[in-house]
Amino acid sequence: MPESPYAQSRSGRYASPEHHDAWPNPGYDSAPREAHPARHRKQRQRRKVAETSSHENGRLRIGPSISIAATTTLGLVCTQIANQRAFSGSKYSTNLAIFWIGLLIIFIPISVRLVMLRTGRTERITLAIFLGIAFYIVKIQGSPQTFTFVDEYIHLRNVQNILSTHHIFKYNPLLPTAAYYPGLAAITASLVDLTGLSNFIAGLIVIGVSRALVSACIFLIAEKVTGSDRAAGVASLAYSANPMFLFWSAMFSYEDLGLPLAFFAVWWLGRTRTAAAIQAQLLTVIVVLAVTVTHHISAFALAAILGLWFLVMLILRTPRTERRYIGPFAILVGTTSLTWFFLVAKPAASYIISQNLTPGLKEIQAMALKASAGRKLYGGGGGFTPPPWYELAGLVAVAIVTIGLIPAIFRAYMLFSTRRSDNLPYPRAPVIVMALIAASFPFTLLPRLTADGGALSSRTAEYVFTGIGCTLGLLAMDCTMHARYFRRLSQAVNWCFAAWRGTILLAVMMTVVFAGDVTVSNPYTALLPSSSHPTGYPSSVQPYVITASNWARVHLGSGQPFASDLIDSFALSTNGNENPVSAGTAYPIFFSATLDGATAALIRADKVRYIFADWNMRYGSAANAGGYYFSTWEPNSGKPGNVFPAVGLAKFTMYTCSHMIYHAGPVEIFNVTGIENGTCDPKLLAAKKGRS
Amino acid sequence: VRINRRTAIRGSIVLASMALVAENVNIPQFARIAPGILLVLALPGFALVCAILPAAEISPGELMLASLGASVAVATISAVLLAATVGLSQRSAAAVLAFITIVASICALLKTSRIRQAHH
Repeated sequence: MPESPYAQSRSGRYASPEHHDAWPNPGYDSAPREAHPARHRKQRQRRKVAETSSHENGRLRIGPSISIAATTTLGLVCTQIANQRAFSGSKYSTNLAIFWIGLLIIFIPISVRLVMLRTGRTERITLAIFLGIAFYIVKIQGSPQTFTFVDEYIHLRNVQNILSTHHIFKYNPLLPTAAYYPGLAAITASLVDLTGLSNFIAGLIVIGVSRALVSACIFLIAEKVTGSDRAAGVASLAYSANPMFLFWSAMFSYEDLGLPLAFFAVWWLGRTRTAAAIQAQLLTVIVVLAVTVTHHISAFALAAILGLWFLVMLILRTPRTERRYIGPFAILVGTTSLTWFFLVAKPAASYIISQNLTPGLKEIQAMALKASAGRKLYGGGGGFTPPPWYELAGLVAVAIVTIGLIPAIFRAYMLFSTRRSDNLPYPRAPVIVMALIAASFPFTLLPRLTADGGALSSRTAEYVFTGIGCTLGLLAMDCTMHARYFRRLSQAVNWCFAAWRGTILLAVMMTVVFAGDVTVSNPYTALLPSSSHPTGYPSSVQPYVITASNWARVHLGSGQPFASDLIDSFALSTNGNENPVSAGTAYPIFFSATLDGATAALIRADKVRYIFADWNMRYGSAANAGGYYFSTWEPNSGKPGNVFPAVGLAKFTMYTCSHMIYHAGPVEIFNVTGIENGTCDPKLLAAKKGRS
Repeated sequence: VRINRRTAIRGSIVLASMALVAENVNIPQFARIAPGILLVLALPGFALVCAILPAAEISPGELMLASLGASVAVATISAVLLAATVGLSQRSAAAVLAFITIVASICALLKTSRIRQAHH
């Protein structure tokens, strides 16, 4: 028996609640409310439409499909034009306007079609996947030739390590933890091995497949929970509107493989847990192990969701046959993920707990005690302040979701509190689980108010929006299908959500949430790539840095310890295959005005043999989200108009023991091996003058 | 066009064998792309799901999704295990994934045969 409150049809397909007689929710029952002939006629017509929709499940309609394909292509052309203009250095605000037009041309038609009554199930799931893929193409348009996001360099280095050594757990200087979660790198490396494709193309294929997987799984899970393909369509839209979906979830990053696998495990377990054959759970074990070795947080989230699901089933006294695998799998995922986390991936505990979780929680505590003022939202990169509409869009999106969640969770509670004739609760564990996940949304926003918690808050969105999607999907069904308590609430609400107005209103709300959430997670200046010939300090790896990194690999050998700024360390690590020390520990070496004394001690302590000096730091503020060259701890980090002090780079030419071995364009490489191994004590050269 | 599941399973055996051969003989790189992608992202999962659920308990759409998800999981685990032990290389990856596909396909064929006999 399915866990859904909606009964499963004999064909094995879940029928839409709007036309299902066995639908237990009081909001959907067929009891007539008012004896108004015209309204009755309309209700009958609506029910007929819903029934028609269920009969059209098996086929895609040609006309709408071609229209959606055409609008999506048009939207992608717009985003491509915006990206091309950005590469050529055209005016940013114009490019951004074209980009937004493209995004909306993609999103709006699909959202309207997804929430329409007449759309069949096959078309809905196809649209959900199509939307995910379309946004994936938007991400690729921004970096069509190589990976450009920070996390992508980390995992690219992992792939390179596996391809060169054929083994896992090799040192990753950009993020040591990532080497201990080799799932993404291993599957990409095997694809590279078997196809001969480049690391970049193989990575795009793996993440593209994961993207299709996550879009389909979200739809199917939501359909299973809500019992309606239309509600699942709303859930898919809500998930696609989460702040991380456009760019973050499309990156070549371990989370973007781990999370789809976790969703797949939930769907597969829900799909097969009542099957007689225990072999079906063999695949669940394989998927669970794959999640464990791919991404820590996804594995923990999977364990938490399965644990919560089992607990709710236990409380609701769900039949043993339905929950027999959920509990054991919750324990299995919890055990394997914690064992891997603490015993195998040893740097992970420090990375997750000390570097990410604790600072955010401490800041929340300080804010609560009024010891900290928190951070200004939409601070932008390098102190840049975005236009007011950008901030407003984000706030409206958060407000819509938060306000919508109140009746949505109330709706879930109504379902929970309804009892059967034998006074037992209906088996509605998944709805309760999703409502609990959705209810956590306001709390996940709290870290966003802190200086270090923004990333923590953003990353929870990918998980929380699953619950939000399902509960909002259920609510949307209530609103558009005239649930009784809404009719009592207001005739105006009733009218607004009736017939085509409901579809339009839902699509508009989803579009506003999508647009707002894009602004929430992406700084104003980061939606489009920087110019291919940037002036000042660039926000991405530049060709001359790649040339210098390649030179270093050829002439100095791989694995040399470098000190460099953050952006250049990505190229050094991947193109150069060098081991740059953490920019967070290297920054005092650069910010110091002298090379003797404390700076020499730092070079020795960090075992730095080469200095990678990029003089472009002198010509512009750091344009990344935090406004820093190395790390948030560096002096004047995030201050508007702040540029790197010239003496910080000039000192390397002013002292003995520091020898320039490479100079091309703005890049200089210095050999400081003598200082590192203690054979040379740096002294100021009177004859040499620093550059300013 | 409806393809019989048994025919599809037989097809997966043929494709996995072809991919295995393609990885072990000297052929142009472009000819390895399609078999390689299939061997990593489609065939092992399809064969495994067909072996696990031999009867028509799963719709074609769900079968496609399950094949994709299962293939990604199987390819990830086998790649990690290979890289942790004997080393991940073109030949080792091809051998393991083709072996999983062929064994699972044979299991699926045997199971479906048994089910058909039981029905008759």
